[in-house]
Amino acid sequence: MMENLGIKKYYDRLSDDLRVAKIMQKSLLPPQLKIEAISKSHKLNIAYQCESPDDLAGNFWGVDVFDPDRLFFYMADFSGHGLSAALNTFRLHSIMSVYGNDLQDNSLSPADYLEKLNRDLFALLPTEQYATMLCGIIDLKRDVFTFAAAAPPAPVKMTVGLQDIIALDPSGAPLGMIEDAAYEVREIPFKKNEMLFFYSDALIESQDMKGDMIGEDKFIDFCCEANMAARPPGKFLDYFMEKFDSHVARPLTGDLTAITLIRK
Amino acid sequence: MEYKIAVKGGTFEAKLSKKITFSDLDGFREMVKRMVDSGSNSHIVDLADVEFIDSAGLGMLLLARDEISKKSSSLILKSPRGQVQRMLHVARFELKFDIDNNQGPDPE
Repeated sequence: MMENLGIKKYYDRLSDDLRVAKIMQKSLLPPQLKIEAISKSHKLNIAYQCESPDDLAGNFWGVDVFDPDRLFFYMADFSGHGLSAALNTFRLHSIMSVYGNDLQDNSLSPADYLEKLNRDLFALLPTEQYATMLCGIIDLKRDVFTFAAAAPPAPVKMTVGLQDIIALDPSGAPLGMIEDAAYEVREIPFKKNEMLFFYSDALIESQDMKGDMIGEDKFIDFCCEANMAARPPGKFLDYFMEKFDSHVARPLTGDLTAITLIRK
Repeated sequence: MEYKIAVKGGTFEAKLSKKITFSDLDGFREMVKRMVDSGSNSHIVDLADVEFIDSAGLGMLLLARDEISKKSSSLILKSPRGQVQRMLHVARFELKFDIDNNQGPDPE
């Protein structure tokens, strides 16, 4: 009896700890008020969906205002699942804040920024742990997205209401894997009525009802169908997730994050 | 994930098949232990029959590389195909591993 009480107390405490940790992790994500403010100030429609099969997620994303013409977007996802991946999200978030100002005042490019994050994470992480990441600056004046990548799933760019779809080059060493890894700055046009779609690998790797992976081809089909159907365009993610949910078997095996940025 | 092992003349070759994902961590660690315990000088992980690898699977390859390098022996990733080859390229694994891209015979 005493032993059972001890176990119950232990699980109650664990449950409390997880609840607090979930709240802390949610604070890494941009609050809805901030997203709405950016939508107005920078004429950018932002929609997102986050879901984790575990109590805690191993990924996060964010968007920050640099100035009236520039926004900084980032998305990171740690290898593995559960507590270790979740703890690493806090580590990376802290490290990011160290270099944020240098990025904002152009002392660092997105590629330089990833190099700094990589070097710091390399010193902290054991071998099999690493993060994929993409970060970049949306420049509304120049109509471009300037980014650097560390092996995330390839983001796609679409024009609202059209079938065209372009995959961005995601290649680059994952953060924390190679001590002196170098990254490339890449730039693509990002004009009014264009959309960038960032996502975690759960959108590709989740299994359908037959046990087959969704895969890249079906993912592209979902994107094109949702893009054609979405009215208004800001509803793209709702249409996409409806397609995804109708095919995929739950529970998911990995953390799902999906974010769309549409220039208005 | 499934694997078959062959040891010939100081080379330990593990031929992996199916998928390498998060759920294979225990099996993969066991395989790495057998590699290290074999005392072989060179090791080959044949990926020709692996149809899919996720980010956790890439982490396992890194783990294998680290364990084997502690014994000052070598590790080659052999014949990655399709999605596996793309994942290794996207993550720039060629900077960390010797990769033999010889595709060998077509899979059955």
